[in-house]
Amino acid sequence: MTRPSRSHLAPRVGCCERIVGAYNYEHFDAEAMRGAEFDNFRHQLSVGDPAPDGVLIDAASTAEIKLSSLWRTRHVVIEFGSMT
Amino acid sequence: MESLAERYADKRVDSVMIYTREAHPGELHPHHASFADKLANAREMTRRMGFKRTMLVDNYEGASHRAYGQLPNMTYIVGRRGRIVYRASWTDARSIEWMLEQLSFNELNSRAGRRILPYFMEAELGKVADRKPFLEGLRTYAGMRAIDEYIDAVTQVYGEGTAKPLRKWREQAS
Repeated sequence: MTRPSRSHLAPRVGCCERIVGAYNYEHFDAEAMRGAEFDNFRHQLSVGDPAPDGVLIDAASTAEIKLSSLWRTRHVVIEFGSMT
Repeated sequence: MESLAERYADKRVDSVMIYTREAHPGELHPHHASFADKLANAREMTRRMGFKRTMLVDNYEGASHRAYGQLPNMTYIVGRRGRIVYRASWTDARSIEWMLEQLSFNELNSRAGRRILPYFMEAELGKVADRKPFLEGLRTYAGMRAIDEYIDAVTQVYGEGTAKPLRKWREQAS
């Protein structure tokens, strides 16, 4: 019996065409270093565009925070990063 | 970035950090196997880095991280109307502070009844490509496996010539 394709379990995202299953990769490698996101960054969003909204978790309180609630009354600096 | 956040907090600027996947997983901090892992690492990062800024965590698949471009150290500034007013592929406190000054300038003039006419600009800035502090950071937070994987990736992408000083550092570090 032919195994069914699992490609539908790996949805592609945005312009970057990176599969979700690879998002939390176990090992950094040449593919991660060449990452398409580095080239795509210039085109994915632009100054003047609406900022992508989303609901995130406050790590300290576990409260849900909607990003748009932050920029309703104040400018917001959003830095992205991790331990490594 | 922390001192910048403190200095501009009373100028109607909020500063938050969005915690992402581990860019260089290693034996000290492996990749996230679950959302619980991700949340725990975000809390540890807050503690070890002494962050006072709000640390936010998106879902396990990094939905917000991907929506903004998925780079490991990028920064955005979003204006009060929800429009992007600054974006950079690298977090650079100097240019962020410059932009926050522009926003303050706009606000002061607007309050004084002057009309602000927006204009668009692009810029390509530079940073010092000193990989040794980066490797020191990896040793502290990721471990030697992550360093070896990074050097292997540099070798494949940029060639042995670029990787050679990294290998020398690696030999001295072990």
